[in-house]
Amino acid sequence: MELREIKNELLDSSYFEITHDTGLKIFVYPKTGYSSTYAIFGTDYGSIDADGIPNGTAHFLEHKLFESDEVDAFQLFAQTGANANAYTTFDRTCYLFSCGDNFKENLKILLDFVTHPYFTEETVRKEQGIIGQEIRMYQDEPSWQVLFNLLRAAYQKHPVRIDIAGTVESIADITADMLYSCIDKFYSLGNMALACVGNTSVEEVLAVVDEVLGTDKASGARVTRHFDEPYEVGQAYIEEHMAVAMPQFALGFKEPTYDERPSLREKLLSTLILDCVFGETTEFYNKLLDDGYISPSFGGEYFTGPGFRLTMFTGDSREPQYVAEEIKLRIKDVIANGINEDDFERVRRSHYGRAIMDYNDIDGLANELVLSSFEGFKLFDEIDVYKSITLEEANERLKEQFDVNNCTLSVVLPKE
Amino acid sequence: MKNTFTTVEVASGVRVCSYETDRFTTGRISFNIAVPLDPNSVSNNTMIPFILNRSTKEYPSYLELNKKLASLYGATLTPSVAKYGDSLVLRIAMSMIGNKFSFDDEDILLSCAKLLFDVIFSPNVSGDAFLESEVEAERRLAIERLITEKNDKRRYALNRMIEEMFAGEPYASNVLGTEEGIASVTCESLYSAYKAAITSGRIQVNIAGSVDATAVADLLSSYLDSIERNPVMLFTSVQYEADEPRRVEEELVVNQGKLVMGFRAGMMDESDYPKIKVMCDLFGGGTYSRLFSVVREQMSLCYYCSARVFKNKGFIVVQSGIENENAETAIVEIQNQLKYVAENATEDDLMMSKRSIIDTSKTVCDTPEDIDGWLFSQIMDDEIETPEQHAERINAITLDEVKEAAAAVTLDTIYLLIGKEEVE
Repeated sequence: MELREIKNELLDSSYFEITHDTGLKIFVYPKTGYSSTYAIFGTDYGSIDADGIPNGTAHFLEHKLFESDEVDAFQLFAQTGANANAYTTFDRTCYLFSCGDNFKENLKILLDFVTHPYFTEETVRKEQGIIGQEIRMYQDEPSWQVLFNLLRAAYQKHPVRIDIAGTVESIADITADMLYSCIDKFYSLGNMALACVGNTSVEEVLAVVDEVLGTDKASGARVTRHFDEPYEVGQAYIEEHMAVAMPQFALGFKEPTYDERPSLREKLLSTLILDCVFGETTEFYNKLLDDGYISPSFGGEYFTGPGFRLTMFTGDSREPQYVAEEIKLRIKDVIANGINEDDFERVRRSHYGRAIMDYNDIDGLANELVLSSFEGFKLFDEIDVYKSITLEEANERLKEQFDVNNCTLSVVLPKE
Repeated sequence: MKNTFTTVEVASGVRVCSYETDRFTTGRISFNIAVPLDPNSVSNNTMIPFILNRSTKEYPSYLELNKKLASLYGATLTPSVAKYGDSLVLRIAMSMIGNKFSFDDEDILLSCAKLLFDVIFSPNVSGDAFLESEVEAERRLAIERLITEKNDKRRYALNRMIEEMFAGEPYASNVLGTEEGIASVTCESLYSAYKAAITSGRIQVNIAGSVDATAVADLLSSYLDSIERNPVMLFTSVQYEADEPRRVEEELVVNQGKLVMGFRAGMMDESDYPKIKVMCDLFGGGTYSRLFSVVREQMSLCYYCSARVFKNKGFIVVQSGIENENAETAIVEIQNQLKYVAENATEDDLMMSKRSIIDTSKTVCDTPEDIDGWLFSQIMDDEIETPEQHAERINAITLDEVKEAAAAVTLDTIYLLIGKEEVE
């Protein structure tokens, strides 16, 4: 076992990073004065890892892992009073709980259930009905549809274009055997991470981990990914008519595909640029708002993961096409003339403050620690990046972030 | 730092509720004004937090105000409105980083409190009217909020059920106003609604984190000096039990139908709330609840089916997303499960709900936002209850009380949004 304490002077705070004998990465962040604890156990496996299995399998597994042949995890968490949940993203699946009391007992339940799968054809069938309803619910959500239409149009092959939950048809093909083979492939401890933040300690966490998972080196290792995706977007425009009263849009600028995830610096820089150029403190934003083309729901996001990098703008607008053209004009202008220095400094200060604010939030910190393990950064690096980032870097990054000839506009329009 | 809840009355109908602690990296201050909910005034009132959030005398445009926030290390101002019994609460909440993280020893918290109070008390107005350009923009945004709310079918179905269940009462009003009402808001009408709110509304300022609450309260007093306060009485009518159950059906082109059932909670006064809360949690709260474990897990009828109690108006709502052909089965089963709670709930069921509620109340003091939310939820109460006090009241509830509470629940309104195939 290897244990390292990672400190930050400014925050006057530290957390521990442990490589357990089993190969599992463990993060423990004790927070003085907190009465609750949040734990999250995740694997580097999500909806994009769909090679050779039905779409939606990762999410399906997420629904099934809190069950065993006798009792389900929710019943046990109900005995302790913890609040448990799970979620699936494009590139990870996470199981979590938060609690005030009984932390050790809760952690035991969490680790035990996720590492002891139990499926039968009958329990699989039952879940198909429930997930079918979840999928149907999302089909009625315009903000979800506008996003997935964008991904389907911008990406030609990359599995980010697949809906996370799959479709009613694709999940009908899932069998118990398939779920077991996904567990073998993607749920080895070497591919997973555990983070516990709040009213806890290294000793407490390790005692439970040793007890439930043992200390033998687990088989299996990190799963690697490779994607073939053309540079060009598949379609420049996609629309759908739904029961909405006001059009919604998502405009995405696609970047070249690399198998690895972007670095923390690249992510923070790209997000900073969005606020410098399009944020609430820009003339651009305020003019579109005053002229009635956007509402405060307008925003930009650097949307990335393994093999996909997309800078995305979303919002409600009566005239999405006009907003899209204005964004492109603004990009051309800022690439030609550079970002204004005052704008850059103001936004840098604001992002630094927001990063500090995040250190209250034990849920957010635990999620970020799991992500840091899969993406290969350190939690406190963010604050240093904001201190050292320069305008020159931002102006360089702009040019690769935006190719105005390689973007997709997705629109959801009211039914006629 | 003291880690306790404190309440100070700074003027007539104005109180500052605080929780000072140094364990957070941030602070949180919110300004809340409760006014009567009335269909005739709601469209003006609903725009108040949003028009105030645009500018101040010192920062006379949205751009200037946002630049100021960015220079305060990304402090945020968030306007919103909420329904609270027969009252409408106008709210602006602010989050900021703690002083020790400033680059130059600036007292960020006090600067932020001053900015928030300027936003409330020193708007950029001309005489007795807001500026035409700002009101025009805000009218458009208010109508857009109303329109986009309809995009969320779950929310839409809930609003429709409430409209039906409380038809003819102020509570039926949408807190976002109406399209016609908003269209007729003028610079003068909005200003007079604003004046009425700050002179006669019930005001509560919540403070959480490493904030010097006394300094903030003193600052607030200096703003209130020039205002002649004349607080209005706020009153909510509660119906104890339902008349004949009503059923309303509507069709819409959507994939999934929505079922919303409104029940009268059998609530006489606040002292009934703890037992109703435990009962409602056991009925349709957590994953161990009857609705989750039977209607979702055993019967596989839906992805979500849950119950929640609206404390300030004494009613309970069950919501589910459902296929049309399963709606009748669900309606029957939901009522069966309520009956189960009234007749067959066990000590084990009770224990799970109590533990869950008590555990959640223990986590309240771990974020400034949750502390603010906790205080906000008690804006109408004379005394602020701490999470510990609440946990004690919950813990004292007995199985008989829960069964009685369930037996007192009566079905009032069934609203069904039926998914319709598109006609080509």
